[in-house]
Amino acid sequence: MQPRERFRVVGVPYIHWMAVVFVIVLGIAPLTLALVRLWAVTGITPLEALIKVHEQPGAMEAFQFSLVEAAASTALTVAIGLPLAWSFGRYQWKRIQLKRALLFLPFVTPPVVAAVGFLALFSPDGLVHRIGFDLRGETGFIGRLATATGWSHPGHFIALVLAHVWFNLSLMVRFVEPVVAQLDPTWEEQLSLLPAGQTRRGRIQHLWLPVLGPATLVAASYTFFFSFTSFALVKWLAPSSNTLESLLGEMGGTAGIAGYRVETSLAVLGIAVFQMLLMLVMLVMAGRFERRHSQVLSMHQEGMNRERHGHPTRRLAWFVNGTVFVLLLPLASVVLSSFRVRTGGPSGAGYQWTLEGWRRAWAGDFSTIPVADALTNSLTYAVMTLFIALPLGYAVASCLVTLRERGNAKAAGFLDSLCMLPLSMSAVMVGLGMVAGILRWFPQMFSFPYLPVVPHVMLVLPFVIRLMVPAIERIDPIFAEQASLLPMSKGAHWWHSRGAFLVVPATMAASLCLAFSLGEFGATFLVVRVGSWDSLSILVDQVASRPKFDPYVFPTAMALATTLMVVTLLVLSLNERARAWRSRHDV
Amino acid sequence: MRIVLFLTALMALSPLTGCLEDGILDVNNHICEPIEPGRSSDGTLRVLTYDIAAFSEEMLDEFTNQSGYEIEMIRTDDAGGILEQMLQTQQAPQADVAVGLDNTYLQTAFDRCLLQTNTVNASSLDAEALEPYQGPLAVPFDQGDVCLNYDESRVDGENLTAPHSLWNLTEEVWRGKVAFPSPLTSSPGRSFMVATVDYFENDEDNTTDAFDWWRMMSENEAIITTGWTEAYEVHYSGGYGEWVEGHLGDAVMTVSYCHSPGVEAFYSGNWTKSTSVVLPRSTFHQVEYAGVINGAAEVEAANAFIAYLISEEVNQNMPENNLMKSVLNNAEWPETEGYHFHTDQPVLNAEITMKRIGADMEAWLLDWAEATA
Amino acid sequence: MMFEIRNGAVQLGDWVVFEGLNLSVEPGEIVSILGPSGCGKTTLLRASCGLERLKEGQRLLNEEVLENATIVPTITMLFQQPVLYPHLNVAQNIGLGAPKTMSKMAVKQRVNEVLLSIGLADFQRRGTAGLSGGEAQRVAFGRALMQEPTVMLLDEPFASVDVKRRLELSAMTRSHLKERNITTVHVTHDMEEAKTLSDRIVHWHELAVGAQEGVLDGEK
Repeated sequence: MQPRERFRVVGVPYIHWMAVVFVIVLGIAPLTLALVRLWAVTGITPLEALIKVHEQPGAMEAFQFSLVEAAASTALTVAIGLPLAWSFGRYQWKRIQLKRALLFLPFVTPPVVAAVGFLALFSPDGLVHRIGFDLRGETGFIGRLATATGWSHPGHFIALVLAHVWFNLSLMVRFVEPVVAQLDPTWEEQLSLLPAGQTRRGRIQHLWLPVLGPATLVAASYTFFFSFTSFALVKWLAPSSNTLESLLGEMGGTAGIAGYRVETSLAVLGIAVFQMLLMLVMLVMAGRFERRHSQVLSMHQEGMNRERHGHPTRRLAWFVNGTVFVLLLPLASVVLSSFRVRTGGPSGAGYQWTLEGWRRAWAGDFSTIPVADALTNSLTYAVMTLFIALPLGYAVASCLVTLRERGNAKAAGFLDSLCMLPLSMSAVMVGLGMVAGILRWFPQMFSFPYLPVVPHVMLVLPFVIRLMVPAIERIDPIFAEQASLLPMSKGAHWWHSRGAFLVVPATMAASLCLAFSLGEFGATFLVVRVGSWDSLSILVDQVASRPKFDPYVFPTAMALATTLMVVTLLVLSLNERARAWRSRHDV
Repeated sequence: MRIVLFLTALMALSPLTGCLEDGILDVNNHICEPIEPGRSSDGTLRVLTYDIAAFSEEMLDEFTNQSGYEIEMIRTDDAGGILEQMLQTQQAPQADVAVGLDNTYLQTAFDRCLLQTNTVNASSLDAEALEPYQGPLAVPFDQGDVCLNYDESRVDGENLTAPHSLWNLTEEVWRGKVAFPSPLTSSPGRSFMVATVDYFENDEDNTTDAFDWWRMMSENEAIITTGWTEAYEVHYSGGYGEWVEGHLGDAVMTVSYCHSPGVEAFYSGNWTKSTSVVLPRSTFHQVEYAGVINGAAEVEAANAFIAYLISEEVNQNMPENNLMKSVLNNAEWPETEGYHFHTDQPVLNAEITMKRIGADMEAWLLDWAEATA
Repeated sequence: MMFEIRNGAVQLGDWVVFEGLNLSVEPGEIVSILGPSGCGKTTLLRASCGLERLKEGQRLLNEEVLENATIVPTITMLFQQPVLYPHLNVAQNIGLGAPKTMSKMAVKQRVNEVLLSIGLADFQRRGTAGLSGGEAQRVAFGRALMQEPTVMLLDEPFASVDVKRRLELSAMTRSHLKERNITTVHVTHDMEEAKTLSDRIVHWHELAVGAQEGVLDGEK
């Protein structure tokens, strides 16, 4: 049926176009302003700066390091994540909602929290050190590896890769598990009756590779992307190395000031443009893989395959439960650290248990904003981010789907890439662009207490769009046609033919918005940080960054971090409830 | 003739009439125009300071009670971040008072017209605090001496001996054992670099300068970190870092303050294994300042806050609250838990004027970057 | 009401689905159109209810020309696969067919009546996921009845139902349609179904220019 063409362009309502334009401007504006500012300060065009990027001190080393660690992180994530996701999707698991929420928790944990947790594991008293791997001090086996290979700091590299795997494992599960869960079991059964399906290799080649390939590629692309742009983890776990992002982060505050440290502005300009081009390529590829991935997803209930295969084998149960347990270890050490304070002196060292860290956290002893206020700020920003990003993301997703349905796939792809732009930008550029733009045109915005919501929305929108697009595409158009034939208002028509089907993905997108916003640190950090607006993640970093002469600084910071984790976990549980509902109702 | 002289004097002095107007500053014949505030006055004082500045809630509440002004803190990473924030927002300043610029950044703030005249009387403060700068644009509120700290348990005279010259640190035995926060990104690092400039300008060897030394330190695998925290906590073996997760302890020496051992002792029951290198001119007297921002919306409140900062009730607590020395006259380090006892006194601080720092800093930073690349 | 298609033609992309099609259904008459799979029967029904655009020709209701590709409230269609909204239960799905002016109480009462008449009296609160093919199609039919249409279009409504049930449902459907005097166009490839349900059977190739005669189910 041809929709009514009034108030629509190429079948897309005007309001959706407005949303698309707004989202693109929101992404492009800070970037453009930052580039213009840096161009004006340095007198050099972005292109010239890009050509000279290899001359910037540390740039090529950082690029090489980014490439190698991202590749290693991706390979290991796929190696562990693929069997994990496959097992999750294939069998019936007890408390699967909780397991999924716990698997996803690392993805939204603030890096400073994760870093501290990992350092606890890698340090001399830590678990990893006790089993013989000194990843931090690089003695013992790691030291011998360094000597034998001439590799400087292999322990730090391994630590960083493990942390990246920890962060990104959930991506593999998020993309691959639904495909496995929704796979029609008769496909496998049919193949097993054919000559090609008699061997494991044959089954992999003819079934699993085509079915899981696109999803794995999508997850791997995003893993590579996030690992490549790693910032805080690099500084904490591999302090002698830099990624491009961490290099930019070091220089960022000094850039864009006329007549002041111009060489820094030049370096930032060149490196930021270089990184952005790389990121855009990765995002476009990830987008292409995602198109293929969404076509593989079937309409079957998630429970079908699980019911067919029943409970997992003991070996698989150990593997999955063990992985979930290991993933919790860094977070557990954060919680533990909140109840411990060091005691030292000439006679020796030790720890004692205490609640003083928690008391000081809630009393605001090391900060000028009480944790309750910071938590309120965090939740406020998160809810605002949700109510802005969700409708915007839906409108953009709807536009892209309509364009593709109408045969304008190229236009849709182009707009999709533009909407992903914020993900490709360094947080430094986002911050610089926002400061430059706001100062120039809206200086009163600095007094606007909800300013931090802007970078939150920018960074979460691409994920909302990514969730909504396949969800909208999967809705059978016949529901809209049927609704057209029934006596419904416009609102009811939209609800029954589309809205009701998006409740679950919208809930998943909502919990993603909330969780991201709660843990977001980088971009918020760069916008003017008025103390009373501090979010909980900023507060955690602020307290954790204090000189720790006073032994209570650290447990206080960890108490704040634990509070943040608990709130995030509660929010993520929404995600899993929505998923369970979908599975029961076959929506 | 007298008339000619008078008219000539009048003409010569006429440019200076600008300094008589409110807000227009005359610094070294450099006229600064007053800047329009970037926000409207609303009774809230915005304080631009660095992350770890320890203004407790009680202290801020007390100021509000006394003055009637509410306070909002705008935080940056460190002193350099304060300057950068002021430069970034110079067209539309968002804060009223900058607290934490030190005497390696202050001249740049003057040259860029970032500050305006305040009404605070600082003349009775400690002379040492007033030495780098005494004038209407900035008021010192705390001070300290940046110097090298080392781990006495490892620099024990057997394996390693305390250096009697900075050149000793370029020797093989010190390879990879000294951590420096980068002067590009760290305020103590910057201060120490300035000290090395003076140190090597005044040593016996006229053929080398500070950046030759830095080059050799880099070749001797000196550890360069982004900030003080990483150098002190992660690398330095003599401080509290060994209690922090991720501690490496591969450096037996680092840049900190001469009173850092005192702080260590204060929190560890009068015990520390850290002490300072006080070679003449290898230390730098750092003073931190508060100034009213050019373009402040709440000038009166800013002045009141600065006065509050140097009041006895507040400033006497600087050693405990801010881990820096008070600027009050005759102030001493606290005696409790060995704070004073373990604080080291510099022999002779680097003697480089603030003006010279302002003029040469960018060139020094470039030289440093090149030397340590 | 009388329903007609005069000289109708539909083209989808480069494919001319049919052209020169003429169909006339008397008020209250049930006409079955028999044709093989893929000949264009569904497209005809979609064009009849306004879901597809007629490239040429007209559709008329009681001699009045209807605007092309526009949905008319009094013409409804039953799709081949029953389109039930999974987020609503059986009663709510049927209730979607109620006119907007009907009160909630009236809708509820009417829904119960319809459920009773289609043999699903206890199905009010049942979810749609567990319904059999026949039950689901009955629910869809009940919703269509709620609309009180003057014209109903049935697109092989019992294709997913087993043979025995198919004829029972055909008979039940005919009974309802006749009771309400609903002008009906029914398409199928099953001769037995057509014979049970309709007053008149028309072969596809008799309707459209250039249409091919094919083999039909149940045809001797």
